[in-house]
Amino acid sequence: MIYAFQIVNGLGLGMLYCILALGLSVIFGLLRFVNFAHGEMFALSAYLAFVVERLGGDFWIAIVLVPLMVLAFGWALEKSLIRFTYDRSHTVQILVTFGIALVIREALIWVFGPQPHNVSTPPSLAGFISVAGFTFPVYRAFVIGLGIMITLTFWYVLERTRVGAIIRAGSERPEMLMLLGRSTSTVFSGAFCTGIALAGFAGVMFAPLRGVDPNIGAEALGIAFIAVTIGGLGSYSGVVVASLILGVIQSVMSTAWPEGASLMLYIAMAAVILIRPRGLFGKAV
Amino acid sequence: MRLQSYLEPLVAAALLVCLPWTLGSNTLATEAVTLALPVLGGTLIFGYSGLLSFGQALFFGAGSYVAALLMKEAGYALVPAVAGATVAALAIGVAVGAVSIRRSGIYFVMLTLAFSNLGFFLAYSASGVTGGENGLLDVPRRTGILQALGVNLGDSTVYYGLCAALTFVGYLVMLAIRRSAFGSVLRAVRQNERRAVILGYNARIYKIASFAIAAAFAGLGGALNVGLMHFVSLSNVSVGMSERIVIVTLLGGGQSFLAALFSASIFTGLSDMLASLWPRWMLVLGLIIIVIAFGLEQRVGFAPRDILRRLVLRVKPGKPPQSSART
Repeated sequence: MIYAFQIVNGLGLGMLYCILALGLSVIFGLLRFVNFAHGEMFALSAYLAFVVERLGGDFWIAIVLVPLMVLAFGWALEKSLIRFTYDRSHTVQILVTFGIALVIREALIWVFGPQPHNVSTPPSLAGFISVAGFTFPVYRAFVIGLGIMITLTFWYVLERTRVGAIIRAGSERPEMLMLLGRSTSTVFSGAFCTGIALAGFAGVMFAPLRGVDPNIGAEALGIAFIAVTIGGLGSYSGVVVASLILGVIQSVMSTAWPEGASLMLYIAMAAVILIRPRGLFGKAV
Repeated sequence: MRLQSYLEPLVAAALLVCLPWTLGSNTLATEAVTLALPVLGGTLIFGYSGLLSFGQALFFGAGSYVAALLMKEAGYALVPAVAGATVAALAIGVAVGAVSIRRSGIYFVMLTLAFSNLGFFLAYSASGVTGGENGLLDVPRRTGILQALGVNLGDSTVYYGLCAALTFVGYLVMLAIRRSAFGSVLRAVRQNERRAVILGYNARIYKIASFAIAAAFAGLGGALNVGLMHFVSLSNVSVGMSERIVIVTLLGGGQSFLAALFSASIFTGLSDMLASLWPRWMLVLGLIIIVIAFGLEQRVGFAPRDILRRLVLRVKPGKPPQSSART
């Protein structure tokens, strides 16, 4: 019974990881760019949700406003720094985003202090629902629902719309896109901002679950890395499946062996690498 | 032999001898050399093999834990414990290297980070052995037979002397690697892996070997750090430690082993000074990393040797070696 509850709980956590990892994956998949600052973008969003709450705004304001704010921040970063690294080696890209991550993390500690802060669950999503005999927090059900919605929207836009077609073309044949009269830099910064906005959503949704502290960024980056490693970097369905598996593993383990919950995620990753180095859904590289 | 080949080791020796006075304390100087060892390793794999590892804390931490357990639980003296820790780190380095090397570029970086996290949570979860969050406390610095020879390792100057000597030996090993055929193959693999393979070199083995050597250096640094601190903190195996090793390696330019020694010393001294002025000084470091990253492929010299060359000899930096990180 407790495990059934933890599995549903884990799916909620998994949806959160999924949005986070999709953001990392879309930036990599389209730009061949690994964003080491992704975790700190997530942390920044969670802290911004905390600020909105402190200023008396509610969760609904935060979930709309915060992703827009980090999107603007991401856009400014892309225009000022990131776009100059597209034609450089991965090492340069990794180091630049690592530097950005360091700056954001230190700035967060500077402003908010090293101690954790709580973010309350929105009153309209407080309480429990009971379905078929077991009770479940409304907020977690909401996270699952919103997670599914965001993932589906993301998939629909990328696979079924004209904008998605342009983005995919930009990732595969940027020269062709230019010949067709589209600006690749717009497409690239659009993709980058989409990834950042996804981190923004994940951060806001995460804040009421665990609160905020300066370590969540590094933790989130680690989890996003495992999700894309297990799923296969560049494969969106792989990321979704891997994230859900990770959420369930962590949730179930936190009942069975709380100290080892995070360890299990990494053991799962190591096992996948040993058996199938390219990831569950990854293409041969 | 040209004069230059003696000059570098002499400068390194002078630096190590002067360090306790420059930094103002034996403790700080010992801390600097225990950081210098992983940075020497980082310079080998980043600068020579083109492998950017965000997971060196795994080996630093493993060295710390093994040395601490050998001294505290098994009753070994410092020197055999440190040797054991180095060998253990080397073995873990071979295993992790063999797995990580299967992927290149971005995947490699992500895997090293993930393995480092794996180590962190392993140390955190196995609290029966590692002390979990509290770390391993009260680790004795056992002198063993050295005591009978009149060496008192309890003295901070003597302990610094031992650490500095080991670091100097490590530095000489790196110089030997650079001059050896092994070193030239590493450079060849970095510059054009396919060509090196066609010439008949097993690039994988060379990469794993250099990765394992770097791991052993990090493990040695971690082990000596335990002797200094008398405890192992969980942060020895954290991502923060990996990041510090990457940062110091980059500040040293990633090309010169002498620069790596200077970089570790300057970093330790400055961080001690700046941390008391402004706890968030790492923020500035983040900005510096960004600048360095942009200058990386231009080889804008951050290594003292490059600066010297440009200022004194007026030599323009040569065409930079192409990084093989791009997949």
